[in-house]
Amino acid sequence: MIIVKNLTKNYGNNRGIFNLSFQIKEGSCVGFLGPNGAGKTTTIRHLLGLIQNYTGSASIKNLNCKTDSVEIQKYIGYLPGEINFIDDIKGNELIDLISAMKEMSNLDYAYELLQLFELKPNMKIHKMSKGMKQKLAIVIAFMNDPEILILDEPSSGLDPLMQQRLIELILDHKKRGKTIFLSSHSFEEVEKTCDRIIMIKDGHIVNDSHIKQLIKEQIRKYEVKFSKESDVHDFLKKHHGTQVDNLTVLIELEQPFNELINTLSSYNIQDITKSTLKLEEIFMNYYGESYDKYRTL
Amino acid sequence: MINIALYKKEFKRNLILFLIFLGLILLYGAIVSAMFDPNVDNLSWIQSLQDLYPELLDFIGFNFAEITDYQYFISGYLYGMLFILFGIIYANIISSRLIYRYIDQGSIVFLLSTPNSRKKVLLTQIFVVQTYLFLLALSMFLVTSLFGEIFNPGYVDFGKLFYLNLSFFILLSFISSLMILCHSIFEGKKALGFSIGLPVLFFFLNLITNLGNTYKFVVYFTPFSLFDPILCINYSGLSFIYNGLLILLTLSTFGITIFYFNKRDLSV
Repeated sequence: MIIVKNLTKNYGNNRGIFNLSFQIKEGSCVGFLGPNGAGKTTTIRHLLGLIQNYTGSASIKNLNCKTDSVEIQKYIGYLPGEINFIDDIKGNELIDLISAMKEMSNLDYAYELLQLFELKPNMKIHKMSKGMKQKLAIVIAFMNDPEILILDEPSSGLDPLMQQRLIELILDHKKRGKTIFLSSHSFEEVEKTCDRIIMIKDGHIVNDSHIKQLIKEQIRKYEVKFSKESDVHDFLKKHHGTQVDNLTVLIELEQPFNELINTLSSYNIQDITKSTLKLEEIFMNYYGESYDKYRTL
Repeated sequence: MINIALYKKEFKRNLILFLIFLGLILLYGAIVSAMFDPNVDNLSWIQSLQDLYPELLDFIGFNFAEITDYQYFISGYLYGMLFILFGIIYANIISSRLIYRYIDQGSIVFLLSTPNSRKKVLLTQIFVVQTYLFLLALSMFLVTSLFGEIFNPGYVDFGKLFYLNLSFFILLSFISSLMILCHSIFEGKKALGFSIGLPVLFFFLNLITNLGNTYKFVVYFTPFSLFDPILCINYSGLSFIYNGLLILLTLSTFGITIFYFNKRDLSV
């Protein structure tokens, strides 16, 4: 469905994207993760034909993204990362304009989406809040019920309730066999909606795997609660672990599980809990320092 | 060739701006038309002005060769400087609103995320600009001819004034094509700077050509010299050649604009 081969766009000073290659099958939902400036939006711009000067190739439904962008647009719903509407018209006027330009025969689904996101578009766009503009952009991207959805940080600016509705909307489209390519900073959104994740850093793909596989490959962690504080100190003298509080130690399990059981059997243990590794932690493992910087932004 | 829905929406969106300029044209057109007096004895103030500051009047393009002819009076008073400035300012504002702002703010991505090519979207915006420039020239014609007829019945030659304004529209079209070229191929402040700077530079070069034969060679460096109101109101053959040349230049500039706009990367 979407094929990217050795895609390279060099802006100089190591900025851009370099030799990106990936494929997205019809009906799959793929998350595109990376810190700011990693190359996510640049990659998406290639898919939409907005960037014309590059090496490598990008195609959607066997159509060349550079030369066949008009035909490709018939199948795509695109939500840009930065919402910049011409703001001296009303929201409903913009919906009317884009639907006419998309040659849509009716607006029933657009009205459904407006209701879903509780958006009243009958006001000038410059008077809308960031969240309202984001909702309007979501409605415009989804309203013609496209085969392929390319969503660049779709939950940006939405409150938690609306984020949840967006996740449900994406899941609904996924269920109906739509192909979804989703760039996001929200781990929850990606974890809940995507089957596969492509991670990008400094314009290079650093990981491309299924979410379940990704989590499985990571080191397992256990939180062990001791009965006595002295046991905690004694354990930490002999073994690796991170003290969480007076009685609790977080253990990264690298050895077989039995060995941990044997070691712990000499102590009085109150509780053992498996700490589920969140996608966010996996992300940190990949991005390390650059992710910490990104979090502080 | 163009997208009708976008054309209609943009036409509506830019109507208020046009009405503001129409108001200014009405105001100045009415005042200047009322100032015309076919009785040469009542126009001694112009003669004194010409005796006192002949170079200044030449520089700003006020030509009063035949002050008792309404067409000469209007072309000297309004088309030497005032209406040309209105035209440049209006052309720049409207092409900024229709092209520069879309690209600079990134709003064009919503138009290009529809099954419409860059060429079609840009051509639609160009058509809106040209429609409004035509309406601007048309309102200048209507205002000057109707007020002229009201204040001085019988002195207005509608055909000559229409041709004068048609030629003015052709000039404005070319000036707007240069602005649109700058807006379409450059980014940010460069686009804005060149689109304002270039016409202003050409305009002042044209004013310099009015300073006498020493500076006549400058006519070859400004497209404004291809619009000569006196030639227009006399239906001079040269004015037809100038208009043809301007139309060719305009079409070529739009061709170049579309070619480069199709090739450029849009970071939107």
